[in-house]
Amino acid sequence: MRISTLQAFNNGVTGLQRNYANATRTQEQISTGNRILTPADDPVASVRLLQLEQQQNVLNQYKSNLTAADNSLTQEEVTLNSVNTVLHRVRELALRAGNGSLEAEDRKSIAAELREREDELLSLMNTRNARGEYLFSGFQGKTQPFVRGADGSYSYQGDEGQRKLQIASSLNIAISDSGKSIFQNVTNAGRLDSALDTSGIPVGSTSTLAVSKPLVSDEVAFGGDGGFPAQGVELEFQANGTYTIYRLPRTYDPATEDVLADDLAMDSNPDKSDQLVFRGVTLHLEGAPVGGETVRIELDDSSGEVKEKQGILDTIANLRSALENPSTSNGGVRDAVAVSLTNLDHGMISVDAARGNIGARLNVIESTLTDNEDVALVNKSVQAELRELDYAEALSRLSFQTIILEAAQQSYVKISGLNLFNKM
Amino acid sequence: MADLLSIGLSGLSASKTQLSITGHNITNVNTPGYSRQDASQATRSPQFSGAGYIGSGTTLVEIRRTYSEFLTTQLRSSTSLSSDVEAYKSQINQLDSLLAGTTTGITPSLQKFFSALQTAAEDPANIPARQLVLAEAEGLSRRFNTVYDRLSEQNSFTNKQMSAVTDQVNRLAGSIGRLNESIAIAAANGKQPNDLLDARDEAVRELSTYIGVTVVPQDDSSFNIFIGSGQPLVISSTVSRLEVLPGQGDPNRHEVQFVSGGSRQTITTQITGGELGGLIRYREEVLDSTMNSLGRLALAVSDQVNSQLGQGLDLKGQVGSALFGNYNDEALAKLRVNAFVGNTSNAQPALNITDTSVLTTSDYLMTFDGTLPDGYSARRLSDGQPITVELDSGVLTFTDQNGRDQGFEVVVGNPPPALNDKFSLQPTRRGATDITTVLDQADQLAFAAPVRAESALQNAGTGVIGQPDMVSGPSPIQLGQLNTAFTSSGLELRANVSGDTYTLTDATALPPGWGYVGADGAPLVDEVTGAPVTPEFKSGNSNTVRLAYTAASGEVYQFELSISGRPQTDDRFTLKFNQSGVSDNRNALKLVDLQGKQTVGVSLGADGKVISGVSLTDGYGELVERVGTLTAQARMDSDATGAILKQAQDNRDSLSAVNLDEEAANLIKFEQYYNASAQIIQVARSLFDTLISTFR
Repeated sequence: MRISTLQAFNNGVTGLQRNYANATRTQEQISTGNRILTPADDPVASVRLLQLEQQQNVLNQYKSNLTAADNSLTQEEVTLNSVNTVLHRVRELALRAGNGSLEAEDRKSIAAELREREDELLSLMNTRNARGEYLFSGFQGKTQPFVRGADGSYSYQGDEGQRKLQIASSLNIAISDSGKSIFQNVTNAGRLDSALDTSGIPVGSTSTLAVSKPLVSDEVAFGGDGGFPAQGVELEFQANGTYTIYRLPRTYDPATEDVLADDLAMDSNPDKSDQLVFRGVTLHLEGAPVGGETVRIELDDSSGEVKEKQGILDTIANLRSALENPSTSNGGVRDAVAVSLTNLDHGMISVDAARGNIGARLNVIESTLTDNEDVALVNKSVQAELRELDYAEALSRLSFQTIILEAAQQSYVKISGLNLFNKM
Repeated sequence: MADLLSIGLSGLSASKTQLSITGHNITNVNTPGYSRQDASQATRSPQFSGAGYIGSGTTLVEIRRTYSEFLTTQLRSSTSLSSDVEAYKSQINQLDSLLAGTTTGITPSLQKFFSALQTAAEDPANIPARQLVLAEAEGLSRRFNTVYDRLSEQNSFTNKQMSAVTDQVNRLAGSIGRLNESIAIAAANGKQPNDLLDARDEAVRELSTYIGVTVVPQDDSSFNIFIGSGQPLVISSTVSRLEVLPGQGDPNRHEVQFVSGGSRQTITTQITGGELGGLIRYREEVLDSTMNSLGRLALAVSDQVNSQLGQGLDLKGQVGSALFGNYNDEALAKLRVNAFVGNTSNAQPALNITDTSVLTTSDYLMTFDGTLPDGYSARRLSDGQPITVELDSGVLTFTDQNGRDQGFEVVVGNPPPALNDKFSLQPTRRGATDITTVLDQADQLAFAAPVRAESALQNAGTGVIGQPDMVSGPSPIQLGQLNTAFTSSGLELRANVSGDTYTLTDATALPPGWGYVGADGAPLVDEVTGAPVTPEFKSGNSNTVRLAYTAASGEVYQFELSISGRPQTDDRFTLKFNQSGVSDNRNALKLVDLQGKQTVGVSLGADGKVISGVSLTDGYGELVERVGTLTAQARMDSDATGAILKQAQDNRDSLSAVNLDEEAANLIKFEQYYNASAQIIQVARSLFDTLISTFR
């Protein structure tokens, strides 16, 4: 083939340029460590990298969310632990107050400590986080959740909001609990009331029968099938001291009357208090009935509505005011202590349940953290595989390209020097 | 003897001319387009003598160039192809690195924005975290603006480059016309003017680096040159012109016009090959769709974020303010419609975006041509599909052949268009430059949901109510309507247990405007009587309660909430306006969800459910992939056309270009030839001398 001089030069230069470009590109890959310098080098891998990068960023975000969730829950847990400690102490005090041999003064001193504990609890329930937001007020972080009213009762000002955080692609975790669900939504054991009616006793006789405030001591037996009737029961005493329990409302017709239990008897010692446990409700009966007395046990709606739930603070406040009041009878103290103890137990269960929840969430956080880290690790290795350069391969490629480039340069100089004119 | 002298002289003259030709070749070794020349020699007519014919020396018949029509044509077409691809490649390479760069792409900013939202969601009352959201939103809109600016720069560069290239085309066309004329005159004597022919071939080759041409040689040795779909650029010595002018439908996109005498013709789309072809191809294939894709993404971001913010409450309990500027601002809406230059009316309609999720990346051409039913016809430019245009009280709506709404409407406005007025509609073109961050008060970011649920403390049952989720509603929501809906005491739902199931407040007893709805948002009514139906729930299961409130002015707010556990009769649950819910982050979490939600290019099924669509980040990823693939393809094309061009150049050079060694050999050869011819004269002289001396 005929080669023109121009062609020889052009080919030589093109070859040099191509080799130089190849070597430069390899050098650039080596200096950046990246196999892909622009998306066009590998469009599919580039988009995959874009997606992986986004996932990586999202995972990082989840990681900081996990830390935030962990902090938030840990703080709540610490607060609830303190609440629990206080409740244990309050329970001890309540047990002590239940000792019938205490003088009014002793009760007062117990009441004094109860007041301190009550304040301590109030401040714990109104705990704020580092940013000044209340922990237990639901969505209303700037509203104090527990407020003591003029009458000494407590009200909850927050709501049932629960703040959640995303910690994995399809997993939100609650990082707060409302004070209502932990401290207010506590079943009230004292939601029943008893009313003694002695109008039916024989004329001229005197009944010494006395009944205590009924206590829902067993929620399982109280509720459910065959539980305590919704409209209450009535105890009717016979002259021989036995009594029958009827379902309310009564029909006074033996054919249709629903007798829940009959032939129950009190013991013969009128000074000894008798305890009736009926379908989850505990009632103390004292004195000697003469027959004809009736006792109605119904839901207590004296304050306008039935107090199905009672907040922990109100429970303590009620106990305290019963102990503080010197006119409270022994029976009254016993009733107050019994209700408080049961309610405190319910409250402690509620707090424990919340702590259990927190523990479970913290476990979820931990396992999610590990999961996310695993995914991140896989991501990183895929990213590396897609993007990063195989240095061994690149370096050997560079040295090969350099050799070619040098050879091209030398041969170019040699060949371009060959010219007939030089020989003339 | 006289013969001998004349023979010697003919040799001298021939070899001298040969030496001149060789010298010409050597000196033109580097002249572009030069074809080496040689002379063909022949014997002169012999003289008859008794013994026969006696030769009378040599003569030069012709000076030819070594040339192949085929190779030159091949070189020309591969040059045109190669410069097309190179122009395309150099533009798309810039775009490629712009879109995917970690500092220049959209993805990092988008990611940062959503990260800031996540951080703020963790603690919605935290002002610094909210400020960060504002800052990142600002960064995101700036990034959109910057990328748009770069694309816009590319567009104006394309415009300028088109003008520059066209100037070159006109210059070369002019010189080809003049060369045609000179060649016709020079060739009239029957001999080829080699150097003029080379010059013209080179001019045509150079022309084909700028624009694809078709060359038709004529009998008088002139070339006719056609461009585009047969527009005659050069006919013999008559030359037409190309002009670059702002486009009729879009002044930012320049068009190429073919000017021949008094007539003008727009030939932008017909031009192929050469740098001009490559630039136009890049603009059509890549730049426009990239700008539109990016614009659509920006519109989707501002729409989705603003709508969600409008459905929440800010730190002060007010309806959330828009974070990004209103893209349906009147001034912006008018910029999306370009009235054609030739329109007879001054109509300037405005284009409002109605649904960013179904927008396409195409532009549209709308004509007021009397097409039934409403006088307007439109075409989607990406696929040429005719679009149905319907007019309803001054507003045009657009649906494609499959009945899909195109996501925008056009307000005709005053004055109305005249017959045959044309408008180019660009719903998404300017989206990326129009996006702005307008909110500067961090506390006005709505991170809280508007409604919360509470259960009465003294409920006897174990029913637990979940927080309500506003599934749909206007954006922004109206505080007045919510206050009417919930009143100050809230919407009370009272449980009514019967056996294992329970109902909430009877549908007929709900406050005015309220009703139970199904999963599709349609009110639950009896099929026969049409009376509202109260849904029944199973005790102990987790049930979903769906309620909707229809405001007096027609807006519908739909809520979903869960109720689990076992409520008892007369247990009360209340839905309330979320007063002072500063720590509520439900709306912020919904904002965060937008990142992965299918919100771009959504296609909806008959039931209104999303069939396909991509998320914001994937939408951008798609764009990067498309540009990346096109770039990779351009690189491969460039390698291929480069190789073809080189081969064509090699083939041509191999035949036509000068080889100095060859010429050096020729120099020696013709020098010797000259010397030998001179020797013939010497011999003739000595013969003459011998003869003279005989008579002395």
